[in-house]
Amino acid sequence: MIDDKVIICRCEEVTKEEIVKAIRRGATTVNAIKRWTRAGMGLCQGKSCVQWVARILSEETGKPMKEIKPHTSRPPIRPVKFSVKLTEEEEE
Amino acid sequence: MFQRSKDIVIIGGGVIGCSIAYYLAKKGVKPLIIERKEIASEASCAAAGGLWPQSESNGPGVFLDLCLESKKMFPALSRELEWDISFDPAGLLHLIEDEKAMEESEKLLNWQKKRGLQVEFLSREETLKKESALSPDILGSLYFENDDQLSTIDLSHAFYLEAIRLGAEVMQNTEVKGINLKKGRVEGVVIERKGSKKEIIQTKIVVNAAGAWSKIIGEMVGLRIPVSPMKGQIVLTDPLPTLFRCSLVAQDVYMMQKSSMNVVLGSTREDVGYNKTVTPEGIEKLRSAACNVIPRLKNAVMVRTWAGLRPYTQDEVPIFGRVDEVEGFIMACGHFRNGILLSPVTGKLIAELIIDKKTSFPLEGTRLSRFEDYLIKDKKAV
Repeated sequence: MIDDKVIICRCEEVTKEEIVKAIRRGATTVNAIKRWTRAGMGLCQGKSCVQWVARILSEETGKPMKEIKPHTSRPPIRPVKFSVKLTEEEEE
Repeated sequence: MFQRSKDIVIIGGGVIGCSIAYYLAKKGVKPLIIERKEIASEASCAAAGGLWPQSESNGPGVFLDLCLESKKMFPALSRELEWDISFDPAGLLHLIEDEKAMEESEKLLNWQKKRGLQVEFLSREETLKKESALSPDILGSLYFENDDQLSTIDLSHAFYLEAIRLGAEVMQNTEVKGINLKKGRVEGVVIERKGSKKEIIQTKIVVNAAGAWSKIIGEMVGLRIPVSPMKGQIVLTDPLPTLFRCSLVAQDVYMMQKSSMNVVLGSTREDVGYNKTVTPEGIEKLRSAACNVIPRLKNAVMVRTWAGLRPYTQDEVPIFGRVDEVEGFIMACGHFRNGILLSPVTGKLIAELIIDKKTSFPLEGTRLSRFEDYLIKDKKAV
């Protein structure tokens, strides 16, 4: 068992307690937990916390871990400098 | 087949469905929301959160009137709803980047002034004084003091939580498979919960708040609803020290620095069906346009990009109200880019229509019957 006050998402400083609250409010997936709490929305985009969030969801709902889908990964996956051009110019 | 009954069924648990549930519950009825995925999981969570009646309007008319009416409701809502919606009366700068835009801005300024709206022309110096991070290449701007912003996802959640507290119910991960009619009246909704058998919910009133999917719901009762998905891609940066305060609207991009300090850039407009793929071309267009307007953004980091399907109508006016041919079927869809802004007024008007049988704002210009061929004649309703 993880203590309620433990920070699960370090980027957005989301505790276990807040994740449990989101599940009680109606979140049924890791994606919905993200929308309720911002867990997984920070700089690392859930790379470090998504497994923990899934585990809490499993504990709270009784759903086996293998049935819990990870959250939708959003490009660019790794933070990219804003000065980087994303498309190549066509060669003349 | 398992059956139960509900007074009112709302199809769609986005910001619109949640707002309708809230305003109905405030009037003492307890609607049921049926949501295919989860609360606010489609376009409602792929919006940037601009509340811009003036900047979004091309001229006077029903769209502007609805937007203004809805916009007025936010300050009170932000006090009334327990969940914080981060309502921020920050104002908006409509940036003028070239001579052509200058001409268009003059037109915009003139009709809005004539309409009695608050709008001000700012020279380059005045614009830069207001937002010092802007590129000095800007020719000027229009300042809309009353175009504000909020946190979109929190608005949906706030409506939802309050509706539930007042007795509304929700079934998530549940798809509507059909609508039963008898002599042209709604009798029930056929639903299928993920992993379960079909059920029927008996009801006399169905509200179609299915956003980009409302056309599919319409087909179930023999209606051709001209709402189509319009993809919009958006981009989020890491949290930054304060770069700017106002919403900024440029030719190819708009941007806001949210209460979380991330900058959000929106959005593309792509007619590509039910497809939410993020494309390098789409993101690049937003990125380069944003860097032109705010050069210091080049130091930021792009953290996340995603896309949503906005429910587009050709005249960009939503579709509200009853449909003469199908009793008990009520429209609340087609909000395109302004579902967040229009959610309070939609909820209020639809609740008035259902409970009081009359609305405080005329729905005439918003009805489905404004479109030709809205009846599917060759196909019998389910």
